[in-house]
Amino acid sequence: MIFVLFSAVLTASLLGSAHCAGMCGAFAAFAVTPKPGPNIASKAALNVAYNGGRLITYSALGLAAGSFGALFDFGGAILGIQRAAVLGAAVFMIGFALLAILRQFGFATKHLPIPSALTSFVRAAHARAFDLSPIRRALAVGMLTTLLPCGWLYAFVITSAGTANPFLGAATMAVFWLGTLPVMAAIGFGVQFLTGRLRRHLPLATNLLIIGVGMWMLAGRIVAPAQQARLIPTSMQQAVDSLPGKPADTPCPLCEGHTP
Amino acid sequence: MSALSPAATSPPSASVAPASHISPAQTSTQVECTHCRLPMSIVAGNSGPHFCCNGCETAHAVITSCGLDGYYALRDRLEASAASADHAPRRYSEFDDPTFRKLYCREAPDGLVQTELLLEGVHCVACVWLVERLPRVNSAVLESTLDLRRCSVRLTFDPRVGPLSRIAADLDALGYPPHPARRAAQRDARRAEDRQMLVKLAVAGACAGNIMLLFFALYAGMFEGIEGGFQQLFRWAAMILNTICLAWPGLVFARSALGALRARTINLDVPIAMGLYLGGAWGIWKTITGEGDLYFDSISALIFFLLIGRYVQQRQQRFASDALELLFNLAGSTAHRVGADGACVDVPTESLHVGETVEVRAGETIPADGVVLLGNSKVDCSILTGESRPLTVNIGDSVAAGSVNLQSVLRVTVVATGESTRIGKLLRMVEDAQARRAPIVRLADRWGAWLLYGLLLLAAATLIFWWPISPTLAFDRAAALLIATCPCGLGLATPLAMTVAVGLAARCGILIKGGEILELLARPGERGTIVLDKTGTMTEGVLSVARWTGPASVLELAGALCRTSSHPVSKAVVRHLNVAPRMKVAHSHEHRGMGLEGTVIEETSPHEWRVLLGHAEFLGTQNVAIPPDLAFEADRCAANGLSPLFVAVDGVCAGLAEMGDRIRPDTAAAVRRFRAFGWSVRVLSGDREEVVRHVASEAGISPQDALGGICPEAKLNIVRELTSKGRTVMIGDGVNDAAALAAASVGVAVRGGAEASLAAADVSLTSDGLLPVVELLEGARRLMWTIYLTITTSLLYNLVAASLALLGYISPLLAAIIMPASSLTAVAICMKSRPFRPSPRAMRGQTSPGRPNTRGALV
Repeated sequence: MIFVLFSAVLTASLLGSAHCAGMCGAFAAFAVTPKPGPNIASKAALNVAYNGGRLITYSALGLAAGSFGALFDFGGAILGIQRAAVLGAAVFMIGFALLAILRQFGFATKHLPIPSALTSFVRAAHARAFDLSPIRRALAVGMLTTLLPCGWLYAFVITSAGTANPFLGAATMAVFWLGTLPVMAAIGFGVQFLTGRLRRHLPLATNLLIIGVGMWMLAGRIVAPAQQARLIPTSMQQAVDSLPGKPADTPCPLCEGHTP
Repeated sequence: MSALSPAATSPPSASVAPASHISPAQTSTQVECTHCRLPMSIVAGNSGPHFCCNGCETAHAVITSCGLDGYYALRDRLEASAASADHAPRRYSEFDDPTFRKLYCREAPDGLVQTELLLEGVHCVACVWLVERLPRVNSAVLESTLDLRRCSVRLTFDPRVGPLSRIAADLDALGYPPHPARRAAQRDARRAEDRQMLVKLAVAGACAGNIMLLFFALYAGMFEGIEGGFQQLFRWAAMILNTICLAWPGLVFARSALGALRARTINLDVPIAMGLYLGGAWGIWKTITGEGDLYFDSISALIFFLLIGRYVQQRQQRFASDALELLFNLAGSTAHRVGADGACVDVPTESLHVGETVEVRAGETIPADGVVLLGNSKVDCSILTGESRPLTVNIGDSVAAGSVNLQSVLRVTVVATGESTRIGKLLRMVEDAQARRAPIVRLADRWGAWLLYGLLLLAAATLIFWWPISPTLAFDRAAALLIATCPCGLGLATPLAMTVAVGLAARCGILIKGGEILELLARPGERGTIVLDKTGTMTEGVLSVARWTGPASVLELAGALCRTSSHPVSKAVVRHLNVAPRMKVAHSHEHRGMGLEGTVIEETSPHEWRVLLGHAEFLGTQNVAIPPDLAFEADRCAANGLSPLFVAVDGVCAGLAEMGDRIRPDTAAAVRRFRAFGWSVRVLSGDREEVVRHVASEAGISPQDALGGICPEAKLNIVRELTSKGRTVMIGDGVNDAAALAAASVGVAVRGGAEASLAAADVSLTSDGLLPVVELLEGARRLMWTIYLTITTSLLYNLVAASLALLGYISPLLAAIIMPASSLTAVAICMKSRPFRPSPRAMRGQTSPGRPNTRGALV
């Protein structure tokens, strides 16, 4: 089933990567523009550095989100809620996408305020990154991309949290990165603003995709193998039922006569 | 100067959202995110930059705080040049306007409406397939037919089912942004005429083919023997087919010949028609009597091939008149009318009225003459005045339709619309000038007229001479004479040689609207004058640094500072520097109308410089003294019509940039060649007198022959006067030249010219500079030699054939067989001649990135 999740993430990120082109296009262009001089870095090397930087921090974020999801799942299981991370992620994604669609259809809502400390940090970090040598600058700008408070990116971070597994979370974000790679690499190679007339329909299309992935997760179609392998029993009866070799109709010796 | 980044100054394009999309509590509008340009909604009235998400807001903050906001200007330029039609979603609401309906739609009795729209992006038959499936996309459309050649779609739709704006939006969504097609009724008439011609062509072809088959049998029968019954059957069948061919498709020549005779003149169709109908009548007589040779196959084939030539000629004329339509698209077809509530509604330009207010956004063409009500911006008026520098307009200033708003949003009160605008009057003049142009006398007609009279007299003499001996012999010899000496070769020579030349010229990047133009260009005649426009023709047409005085390091500092500004002067300095920035600008500030000030930092060292850039007065206000040597250079620069721009570093004036429109490197050489061909050369320009004289002197033209400050109307009058005295070739590139281009004997529009000039001109160049004009003149001279050779050969052939026919050595059948020899000789000579030879320079010119055409042409 993880293949389905990755396919969905890849499709969504491929289609929605026009947003990345619009938002991070400027950074990509600055990062991969070679500086004149004796040790001129090739555009390809700068592209590798920039997109490699993105991959590193995206995967790190996925790793963290997956870990958080695992903790959340565990906590939910203790409280008797199965697959809490998946449910939480799915609900959050659907809510996020619905809100975005409502905004697009004329319901003006306010954005959550950005912590001023984050903005200051991102500005200062970029300013310093622009002073670095080309390859380092490209790598640093790529890594800093993750710090931009982008709703689209964080929708996928939540998806990776939904896997409730650190490695699967990192892999999910790597797949997301893979989906954005064609557009971001194209920007780096000078193919600017390639989305054209498709652009106007993108917000709706991508938000619908996010809703689709969320609904799928809610419906239980997307379940990580990790979750399938280690569903934590929510009751003693379930624990006993899961024992190997135990007949299905054998009552639990502890629970017998008690209403669970 | 004004420091402008679109993100900071121009509000995002906004349009009122449909009622169904508005929340009950708040009115929202659709705008684009300032950073990523994706569509988003905001509460109406909210000003300033808008962001679709926190990420975009942070990204925008990072970019501006790092001094990289030039990115937005770059992005806007790239997007604007990539596709003018690749716009924010267009609603095409102006297509539902009653004025639009009245102008471009035709009501059918059953409540249906027909209209024609020009489409962008039509390339191939796949587009035909897609566009013609429009009825499946929009149920209001009943029929959709795409004319691939003209890129226009004819729609039949039911307005009760859906509005035209929805259909237009659907076409846009399919990738074919539509535009109203003007003069649709006129085109309908043309289409009907074309169709009629094609039907005649088909009938002539069918008749000729079938007669040919019958004659194969008859010719075979001459050698192998044929039964008398079959021979009679084939002769009668051929006669019937030939009669049909003469009575319908052949009538084209009879009508033309009768028209010429009624006007007491003679044209090529007179002997053609005489030969055809005399031969036809004699063939009928022989078929009825059952004796003698027939040549119906030659007659019908002749009609067929002559009709093909006529059709091709007709199509070429259509192309020329279609180009005129472009003239009327200059002021744009859509305007943003500001309503009483302040909201903008897109309407057709024709529905604007005096006193209304329109909004003109950055990059858009001003749709009507008016006065600025709100906002200030820079306006490119070069299309009207030829002035290379953009004009600053503020509240209360007048703006003209056809000018391009360069910087920020303007609201303009309309004072004149349509044909009442200055550009409208100018375009009317172009039409008038075209209509008044003296008809060009064809070379072949001049030579051919004598031959025609001679042939007719000879035929009559032959008939009279042989009639007493034998009427059959008299008819045979007269017919043989007319057929053998049919002036097809002569008639073919000129148009064929010219068609070949026009085709070759097109491969060299010289687009000629009619072959006869080349005849005029071959020789200057008495008082032949070439009139040159300055801006864009002799010069590059853009503001640039003509000369730099001072150290290169100072120019680099100035260039770094100029990167923060979008002012045309700053852009010219950056273009001149033409290297990637090595320095950063820590701070910059523009003093409006005075200059630019800023702090520049070297990337590899902590050193920083305070750089000032501007006029002498500006440096004076900053307590910077101008050194005497630079002051002297500045005086010289001003005397040459250039604008001095001083650069001061850390309080010391260290450099001087002479700003102006640079002369093209090939101008002087081209002027020398024009003179060598016998033309005198003059310059007429709307730019300042001193600038024009300076450029003229650089090109080797005496100041007496260079006139500056000439408005389009005065330019037209001067060209008319010159044309009345002798042959005039006008070379220009703007709308201000359009009337003069049309009034001159030959108008030549140089590369990158406005559509109006291209439409009015007889020749359009796709390569930069004046050297293609030199190639044009050389090619025209070579072409004339080819035509003289062809005509001489044809005349010799006719002389020999006429003598043989008179003496009775050629029967009508043999005459019909050898008749094509004259034509074939003419064709062979014309095809072998290469008056225009694609040179490496011409090829380079076609592929080199020249100044882009600033307007999206639909053709």
